[in-house]
Amino acid sequence: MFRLVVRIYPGDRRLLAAALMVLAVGWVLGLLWVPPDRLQGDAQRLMYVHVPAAWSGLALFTVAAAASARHLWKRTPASDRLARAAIETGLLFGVLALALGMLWGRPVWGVWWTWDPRLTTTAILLVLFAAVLAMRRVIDDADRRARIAAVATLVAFVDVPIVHQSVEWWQSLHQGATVARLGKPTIAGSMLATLLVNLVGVTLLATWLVVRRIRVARLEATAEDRELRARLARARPLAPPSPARLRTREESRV
Amino acid sequence: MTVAGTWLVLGSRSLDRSLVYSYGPGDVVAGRAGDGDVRVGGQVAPGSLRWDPDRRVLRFVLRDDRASIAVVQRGAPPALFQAGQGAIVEGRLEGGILLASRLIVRHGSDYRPPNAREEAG
Repeated sequence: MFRLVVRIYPGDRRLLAAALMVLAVGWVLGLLWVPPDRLQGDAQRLMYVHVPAAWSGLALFTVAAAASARHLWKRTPASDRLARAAIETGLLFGVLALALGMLWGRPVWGVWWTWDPRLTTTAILLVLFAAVLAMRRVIDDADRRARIAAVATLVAFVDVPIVHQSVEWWQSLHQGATVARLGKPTIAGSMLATLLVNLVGVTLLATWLVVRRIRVARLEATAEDRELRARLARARPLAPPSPARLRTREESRV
Repeated sequence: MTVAGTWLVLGSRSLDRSLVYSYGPGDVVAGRAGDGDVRVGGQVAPGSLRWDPDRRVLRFVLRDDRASIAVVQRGAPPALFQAGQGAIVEGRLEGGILLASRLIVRHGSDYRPPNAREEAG
């Protein structure tokens, strides 16, 4: 089975293969095997995708903050690439969690959206990290961009523990923690098992996406490097280049 | 430093009433919720739910561990609305009665199959 999936997705996509296999098992469990909730009925099955998406989003923003802190300390391009990949993937799963949460909220709460603390802080979180990505696009110099983005990421990260604690600090509509709480989880064993399988599956998928995104970023950096070196090579016979001559070269190319 | 500072400020503001999403019936009775439009969250008192199908009026008592208030709404309740469960009511306070414009069902964080034995959660 594993071999087959690896063959369908050739190369070293073992991570993706593992993610898809775990997710396939998780979805079969979540849609067919596990019983529905006694109060919420089948709508509660959305938990098996909503919770893993939300968890992956928050985990990836945490990874991005750690990578950003490391970048400010060591100034390595690798940590900047990891931060960017984690934010992009985190946004994907954050938006997914919000959308799935709305689909779940409509049948069981009666509303698609309300300005409950959990929902509000999550919306703020996604806007903050979207702003970090937008900021990256307007700064040309790579070092400066990485530095400013790292600081902005750490500022945006402040909201992550707030999102997590929002259901404890304030009266909210959103339910509190189920699994990560002191004492016994308030969930039936079969539901908890299904949730954990899906949690592993989505986490693997998210990890794969981050790995791929980093690879793309690395290729982009190499391509930029190569282009720069090619330009330098073309410029070399002219050394020392006079500003006037450089200008005409640029103009003739346009 | 900045991160820790901001976090602390926001953490302490969690106690600030200005950031409140919903009040409890206890806050309403104590006058902390103010007048006019409010959002009140609590538990639908068991046995208090009355639905008048002819006049299409829903009445129930919303309570928390400190107090309870009467709620009146025109129109049918949402599908999963039932006594003993959590609810958030948006509406207007008039003469100590909450005239609901919107009911939101609040669910606990416990999940059980339909046939599971009741467990104190």
